[in-house]
This record gives sequence, C-alpha cells and structure tokens, in this order.
Amino acid sequence: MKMNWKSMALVCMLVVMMVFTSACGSSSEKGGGGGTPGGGDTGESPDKTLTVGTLDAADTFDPTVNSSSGLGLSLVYDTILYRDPESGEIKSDLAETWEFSDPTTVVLNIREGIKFSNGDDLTPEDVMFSMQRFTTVNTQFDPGYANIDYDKSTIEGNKITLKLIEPNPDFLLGLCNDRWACVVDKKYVESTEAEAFWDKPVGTGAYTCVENVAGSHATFAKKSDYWGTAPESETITINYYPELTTMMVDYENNVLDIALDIGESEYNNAENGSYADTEIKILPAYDILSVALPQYMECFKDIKVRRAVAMALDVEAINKAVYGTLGTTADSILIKGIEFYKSIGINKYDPEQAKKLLAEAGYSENELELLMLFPSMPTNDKASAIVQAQLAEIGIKLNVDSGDFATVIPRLMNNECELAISGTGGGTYFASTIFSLIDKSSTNASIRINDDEFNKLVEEGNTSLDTAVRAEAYGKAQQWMYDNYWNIPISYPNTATLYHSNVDNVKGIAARAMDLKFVTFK
Amino acid sequence: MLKFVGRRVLWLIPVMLGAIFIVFAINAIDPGDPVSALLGGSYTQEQYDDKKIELGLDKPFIVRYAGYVKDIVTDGDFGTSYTTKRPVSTELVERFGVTFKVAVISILIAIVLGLPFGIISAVKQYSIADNAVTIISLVFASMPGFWLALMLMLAFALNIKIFPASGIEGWKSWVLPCLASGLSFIATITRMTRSSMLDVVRQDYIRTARAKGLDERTVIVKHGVRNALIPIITTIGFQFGILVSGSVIVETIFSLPGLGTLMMTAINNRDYPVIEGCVIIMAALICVINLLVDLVYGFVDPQIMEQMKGSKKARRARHKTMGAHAL
Amino acid sequence: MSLLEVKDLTIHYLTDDGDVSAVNGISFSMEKGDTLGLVGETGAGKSTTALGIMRLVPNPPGKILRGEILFDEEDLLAKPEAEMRKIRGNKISMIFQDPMTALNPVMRVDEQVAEVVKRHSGLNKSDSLRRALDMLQTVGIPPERGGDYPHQFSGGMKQRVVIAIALACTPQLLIADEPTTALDVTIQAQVLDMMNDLKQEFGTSMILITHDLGIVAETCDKVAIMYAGKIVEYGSLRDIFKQTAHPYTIGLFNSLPPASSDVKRLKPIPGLMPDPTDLPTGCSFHPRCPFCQELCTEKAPEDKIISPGHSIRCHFYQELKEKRPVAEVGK
Repeated sequence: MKMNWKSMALVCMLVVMMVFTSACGSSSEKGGGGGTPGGGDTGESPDKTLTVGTLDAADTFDPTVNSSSGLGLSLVYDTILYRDPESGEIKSDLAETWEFSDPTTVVLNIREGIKFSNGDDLTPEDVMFSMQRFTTVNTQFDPGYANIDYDKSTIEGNKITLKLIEPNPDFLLGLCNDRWACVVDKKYVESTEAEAFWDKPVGTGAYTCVENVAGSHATFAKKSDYWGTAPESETITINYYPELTTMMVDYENNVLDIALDIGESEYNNAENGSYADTEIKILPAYDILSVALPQYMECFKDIKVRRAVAMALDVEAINKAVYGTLGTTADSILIKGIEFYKSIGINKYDPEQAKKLLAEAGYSENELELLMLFPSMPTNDKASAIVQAQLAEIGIKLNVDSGDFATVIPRLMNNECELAISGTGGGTYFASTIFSLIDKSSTNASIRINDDEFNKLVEEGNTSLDTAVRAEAYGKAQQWMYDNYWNIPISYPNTATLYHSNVDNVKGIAARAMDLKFVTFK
Repeated sequence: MLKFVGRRVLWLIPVMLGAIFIVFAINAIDPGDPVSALLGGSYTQEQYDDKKIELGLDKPFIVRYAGYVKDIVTDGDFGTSYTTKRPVSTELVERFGVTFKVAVISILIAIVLGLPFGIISAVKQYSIADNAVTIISLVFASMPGFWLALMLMLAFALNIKIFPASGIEGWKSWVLPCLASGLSFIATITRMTRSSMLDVVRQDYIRTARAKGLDERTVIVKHGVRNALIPIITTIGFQFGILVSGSVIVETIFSLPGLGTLMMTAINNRDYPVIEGCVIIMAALICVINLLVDLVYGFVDPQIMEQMKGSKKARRARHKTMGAHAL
Repeated sequence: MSLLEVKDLTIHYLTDDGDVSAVNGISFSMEKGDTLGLVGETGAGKSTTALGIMRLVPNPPGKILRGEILFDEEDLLAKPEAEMRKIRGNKISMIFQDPMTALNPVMRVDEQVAEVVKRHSGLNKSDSLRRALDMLQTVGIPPERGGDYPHQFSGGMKQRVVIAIALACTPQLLIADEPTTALDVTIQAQVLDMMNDLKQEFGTSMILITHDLGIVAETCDKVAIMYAGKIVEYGSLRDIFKQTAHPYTIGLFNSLPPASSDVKRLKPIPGLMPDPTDLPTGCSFHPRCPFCQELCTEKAPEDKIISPGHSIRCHFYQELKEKRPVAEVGK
C-alpha cells in the first residue's frame, strides 16, 4: 500500500516534467522553420467539408444587427447586386438589371422564380423590405438606404423604382455589400421574432444554416435547389475563436482548411515556412490609419503649425512599427485599391524644417502641449507612442490617454481630444464613405473638416454621375488634403489569410468578407 | 431538516436581490456608455437620444431596477441583449451548461488527486513523498492559469496530438480545459487536506483506533479522514466560486462557448442585460453550491446534523446529555 | 507460568533536542489474575512502558532499543506488525487517560464498540452490533443510547464506553493508563468499582498506571514504583505499604497529607524529576535523596531482593531499614 502511493507521486512528478519540457521545446522550434509534419489528410474529406476559422464572434443572421462579419450572411442570403472582388465590376445577383434612369432614380429588375429556403417566393417587396429595415428596426448602420424616399418609390411587377433623396453615384455599389444588401423574407421576418435570425435564417442563398452555437461554431449545408451556380462544398463550418493561438493550433492540425486574418506575427511565421502545406493570401483591409488635427483647436488655425506637425511624422517608420510586413505606407487620404484613389505622395518627413516652422509660428520649445485620446487598440497604442516620440523631437509635448471603446467615445464627443489618431475600422470600399467620415457632415468633431474649397470638391465627387468628373474632383480633394495638413495618412493595413493547398479559389473583398461559396477543392 | 433547508433557500432571495442591485449600481456608475458603444464611432445627439430611449436607459435607476426584478420573477425574462437582440435567458441557458460542466469536472479531478496526495503527505510527514507532493502543489499553485492552459494545449494538442485544441465535440475536448482549471485547484485541496489530516492524526481517538488492532489503512481512512473533512469541504465550496468566475481564461483559450466568454464580450460591448444575467446566474450557482456544502457538513459531522435537524429526537438527546451529568 | 514477563525493556525518544531516555531497563512479571499498579510521578516513563508493551510507541521518534516482552511465552518485540494487530484489542487492550478525546466524534458509540468485536471475532455486522450493545449494557449504558454520538455523553459515561471497547473481546491483559485521573472523585469510585467487577467476571489481568496511591491501595495486588525510567521498588501491596524501603517511595508516602491530624504544611520531596535527556550519573534519584552518599553519585544501583517478591534499587537500603522507623499508612 505505502509503496504504491509513493511511487504514484513520483510518477506524477515525472509526467509533469515531461509535459513541460515537451511544450517548451516546441515553442522555440516554431519560428525557425521546419514546422510539424502535416499529419492529416483530414482536409481532403471525400464529402467536401470546408472548415474555416475566424476570430470574430458568432453573430446573428439579421443584417441590420450583425456587427462583426458577413461570412455567414453571404452563405445564407443573396445580395441585390454583386461586386467582383478582383475586377471591381458590378454583376447581377438577385437583381437582373439595374440602372440610373436619372441622378436620383434607380430602376431594378428582380429575377423571377427564386424561392427562399422555406418555400416562399422571392418578391420585389422582400427587397424593398430588406432595405427599409435599416431605417426602421435597428438604425445603427446606414448603408445608404436612408437616402431612399420610400413613399415615392414604387414596385410594378418585378420592377422596383427607387427615388433617392440626394443623388448618390455609389448607390449601386451599396446594393452589393455582403452584409447589408442581404435580402430577407418579409413574411417570415414579420411573423417571427429576433430568435428566428439566430439559427433558422431564411434566405435565398446557396446554403442553409444547420446549427449556430453561440461562441463556438456555425454549420451550413448546401441547398440542392440553389438557383445560381452550385458551390462545391457540401458542408461549411465556421469556427469562432476568441484566441488566435487556438485557431493556429487547429489550423496546424488540419482541423481548419482556412484561417482568416491571422495577424502579423503568424504571417511572418507562415512566410518562414512554419506551416506545412500552406498558401498565403494578402488582401487590403480597406482601412487607413491617420493622424487628424481637430479644427476646433486654436493652434491648428495656423498652417505653419499644421505643417510642422506633419513634417515631424516619419510615416514610414510608424507604418513599419505598427503593421510591419502587413502594412503599406499611405500616400493619399483615400485607400489604395478603391475607385478614385490617386497616388499623391507620402508625407514629407523633415524634423529640422518642422522645428523652424514651429518657431516661426511663435511657439517656443515644449510650449505646445496636446492630448491624444483614443479607444485602446494595439494599433492605436503603438502608433501613439511613436507619434509622441516624434513630436517630442520637434518640441511638442504630447500626452496620450486611452481607454476602452465605450469609455472613450463620450469623451471624444465632448471635444476632449486635441490630436486625433483614427482609422475607418476596415471594410470601407467607397471614396464617398471615407470622405463622409471627415467632411462637414461627420459626427466626429475631432476629425471633421469644414472648408469651402474642400467641401465643394467632395460634393462634386459625391454627386456627379460622370466617372471622369468624379475622378477629377476626388483627385483634387486628395491633393488639397496633402497641401493642407488637416489629416495626415500613415498606413494602409493588409490582412493575411492562410489556407492549406487542398483548397482553391479562396477569394473575397476582404479577409473577413471572404466568399466561401466559391471555394473549390483540388 | 426541511425547515433548515427551507430557511437557507429563502436566504437566497435577499442575497440575489443584493447581487442584482450591486451589478446595476456598477453598471450605472462605470464610465462606459452602452449607447455610444452600440452607435459605433460617431453619432448625432438625436441618434443618441433616440437610442437611449429605445434601450430604456432614460428611466431612473430605481425604476429600472424594480422593473428588471419584476420581469425575472414573473416571466423569467432577463431582458434582451443589446448586441444580438436575443433574449438573455436563451443565451444564459445555452452557455451555462459548458461552464458548469468544466467546473464540476475540474473539482472532481482536484478532489480525486488532491485528497489522496494530501493524506499521504500528512501521514508520511517530511518523507520524500511529502516533499514531492508539496513541491508539485506549489508549482501548480504558482502557475498563471492562462499559461498553464496554453502549455497544455501546445503539449497535448499540438505536439502529442491526443486532445483537440478547441470546441466541445466528444469527451476528448473536455480533458484539457478541465485539467487546466483543475490542476491549480489541486494544490489548494492538497494543502488543505494535508494540514487538516496533520491535526487529526495527532488526536487521541486515532491512538484508540490503533489500540483496537485495526490496520493502518482503516485507521487513517475511517477514523482520520472523516474527521478531517470539514475544513476540506469548506475549501471546496469556496473554491467552486473562484473556479466559476475564473472560467473566462480557460474558455477563451480553448474556445468553449461558456458563461465566461459571454460575459467578457458583454462587458466589452457594455451589454448590460447580458452582464446582469451572467452575474445573477453565477451568484445563484455559488449560493446553491454553498448550501449543498452546508448540507454535506451534516452528513460528515453528527453534531451539525443535529443542529440542522432541530428535531424532537435531537432535543431529547440534548436533555439526556444534561441529565447524564448527574450520573 | 507468568502471563507477562518484561525483561530489561529500554525505550528512548530520539529527538533533535537530544536523546530522551524514557524507559531504562525495566523488568517485572505478572501472573494471571494479577493487578499490577505502576506508580510514579509524571514523566517517570509509565505511559511509555505501557505503549511499549502494546508496541504503539510512535516510531519516529520513539525507538525500543532492547528488551524482551514475553506474553504467553512469546516475545512481543519479535512479532511482525500484522500479528501484533491481532493481539491489540483482542488479547491485550489499553485504555487511555482522557475520555473526552478518546472516542471518534463522528461515529456512533455502538459502532465503535462493534468495530473491535468485528475485527477480532469474525462475526458479521449485525452480530457484532448485538454483542456491542450487550457490552455497553454491562458497563451501564442502556442499549437505546447505543446510537448516540460521544458528544452526547458525560465524561464518566464516555470512559465507560472506552472500557467497553477495551473489554469487548475479553482480553487477557488490560492496561489502564490513569483511567480516572480526568474524572471527578465520585465518578472515579464508580468506574474503579466497575473495573474491579469486570476484572473478576472476565478473569482479566490488569496493569493500572497511576500516581494516586489511594487507588493503588483499593485495587492492586502488586506495585511497581517507577522513577526516571527505572523500577526503583517492586513488591506486593503489603510489601510496599508496610515495608516501604526505597527513599523515593518513603518520600511519596510522606508527602501525602495525613488523614488523622491537622498540618500546616505539606512535606513534598525537594527538587524536580530529572531531565530525561540529561539524567544524573549513578542513581538517578541521588540529587533528591536525603540519604545520598558518594557511591550513589557514581554507580547506578542494581536490583536487590529484600524479601521474596520484594525488590529494590538502592545501595544502602539495609542501613536505611535499620536506622529509621517504618512508615505506616492506614487503609
């Protein structure tokens, strides 16, 4: 009896030692190449199951509420129009034809004979209803549907005539959005409650939702009677991970075929060959990191001061520090890759000149003191530290304060921020959207710019239906921004997605907006 | 007995009301604003006001509190999540099972390993076994929870691929998370058992038991352990609360859909109804566990059992004791 | 044929603070039916001797260095532990000093008695329980109280339970270590009477450890006086009480307050029990002995026989006997 217990304790101690030495050993191997052998053929399941990992939380299938990702939405619903992620062209989806009959009228012809997953027919009323929900039910997002005058818009047969309140040339693009342009079944939604949007969404899309387990995963099964091109995957499972490490472990173990938006350090690991049998896809995040000078600040009324601040910032260095290999230095206020982007020039870095300008404006060393206030995020945190150091070089004292999102926003609304750092949050594909964040209609005073010349250019770009006119107007607006230093663009972040070589056709506009129904197996 | 249990159950009510009140108060005082969080980065004053009314946050504190309590008691309605618009009660029910399961299995692991280790440690004080057990307990007690969880995952999910790193499918996915929670808990139980047994083993009735010619095993287990149990059971009850609230880390790392991750997301989003719902469930769970612990005391220690029974038999027995002094 | 023969039993406690010489070469014997009183002050080594016979000396730090304990012709010190367990509670039983803590607080008293019955008799659970209740009744505890727990009994009744446990298997030898010290006087008398009755009924021999000479007078046939781990005087009750020979024994009797006359002051033996880690050279009693000579400080006295059955360890007992009057202790 005694011998047993004693030896049990010793054995346990040995086991513990073994566990930890093996664990320690592995973590040092990871960076240096030669990762674990891809022990599985589990990716190439004969029944074509696609498993995808993402860091976003599981979410509802209600397009007006869904806050994180459109991955699931794009499987269960179709959108009104579809934008090709590679060419940027608008293509038909639920709407067969579309056109601007005049600057404020859009005419759509909705396909006939399409059924929802519960057997209901798709009607133009469903399309109208889906758009109108954004103005009635949950109003926190506006994809531009508030711009529709619903009283004056009409439905005739399968033709919808939409009357816009203000002209909006990008309106059609707004009908392509993977999250907000989803068409829901009016009859079904009106007869059920929010619960129906959880795991029993009804849509016209290629898949039905079989299971949606909060905080864990969602499973989708292919519909046998999809009206469009049949996708290859029979089943798609999306796994939600609160922790990146866990997702990477599952990816390495071939539990996942695709790991979305993995962040810089894992991207570097993948580049170094840590993951066997892996392809990497880089996509822009459609986000821009910039430093903005609030117009309500007295000191910034002098262009010399603004120029001094701009010249103090070495944006290449900031980009490298914050995004490393996954960032591109910004050279315009618009994001590279979107329509109407024009390469204007990277912000000039000249600290000596900056000091001179500051002195000329009448500020002695360390006289100017500013507060930078922002919601705490790794990118903001890193960038603000460097900006603080760089401004200190030219004699401007920057105090940095951050907090969680909900705490900081009310303070920002109160104009407490004296130098802002901002991003769009990703997924901004339109010039008009980007400008709306900073133009005179912006609700964020710390980045709002109200200037006659700028306003005119932006207005012209936003409303003209002529692409050439828009290009010129927007181009001039971008140049204006470069010359006036109210907003200094720093970086265009990119995202990296990994996938095993057994799948192909991994594409989409952005990492978290992948079009999983196009994925094929090799 | 029923009276005792009944009284304890009734006590749950003021405790729960108090817990809800505290959470409500904290939510009201804390600087974050759910309206801003929901509206996103920027908004007009009008949008803000509308949203506030929509969420019912324009009403005064007491009115909201009273309404909330009434809804729970009459309908079991815990409100609606600000972010997902689903009923909070549904979300709580979905996630509760996972957290509870991990907590219970962790405790079982800790008891099954901790008790014998503690007993050996006490019986063979200062021997190699005792030192080994003490060192291992200290090692586990000092490890940060998330580090232990990550190490286990790297060791057993990546290097030696026996257990999955995430999810809740099949019994295998529970092993690593429960180990991660349970191992640090083992240390506490082992040390408590050791110290309690050390006390008991020095007692006279242990010597009496040996003098009866009983074998050592019976002496230690039947006579020793039963008397050592009370502080150990107390510790278990207390630690259960800590386990439940510390579940966030394990759930996050192993991607388990439990109350912990639900609460974390809710706190980040200032999703008040969900936060309040989680707190209520956790508080209720801890109260119930403590009640069970108290009942278990009764089975272990007959003096406590009598108090709980407060029955006629016990009263008669007390009279007898008093009378016996005259003997 | 003796029931118990102890030869040169030596037990030390090996602690970090020093080597505690608790029992230093004790020898005595008992016949069947005897009651031996083992008398001495606290720290004399009486309890250790008792534990030694039961082989219950706590093993670190205690160690039986040498000796023989012959029980029924077999040496207990040579037996394997498994066999000793068959003897404890069965052939030799022991009861301890403090009844308040001697019983397991979470077990019913009838179960505690039944436990020892079941262990040694091979009866099943219900038969053991019945026997236990019988035994409890014999010691004066009614069967309806069998299901009660120790805390529901008074001190005297608890001690009865302890006695019931000890005698349940009708042992040949009962060792009682100060069984009534913790009880008040009236209860003491009852318990002693009961023990005597049981002793006669079951034919049990008894070693009664005590520091109370009055109890010795009531119950014992033979007496051994212990000092600093040695038996300094051994004899029949009459020998010790009437023919007191050793200076220590004499001192013990002298320190009792006389029943007949009034005295203003007691006459204790001057000095204290020696430190067992550092015993005096020669005769351990010499620092306190009024008759100490130079030889006493150098050489430890051997066991000498004064008369049949009466032995003593003192160099000068002859001279002492002639010089002084015999102490009288009334019965």
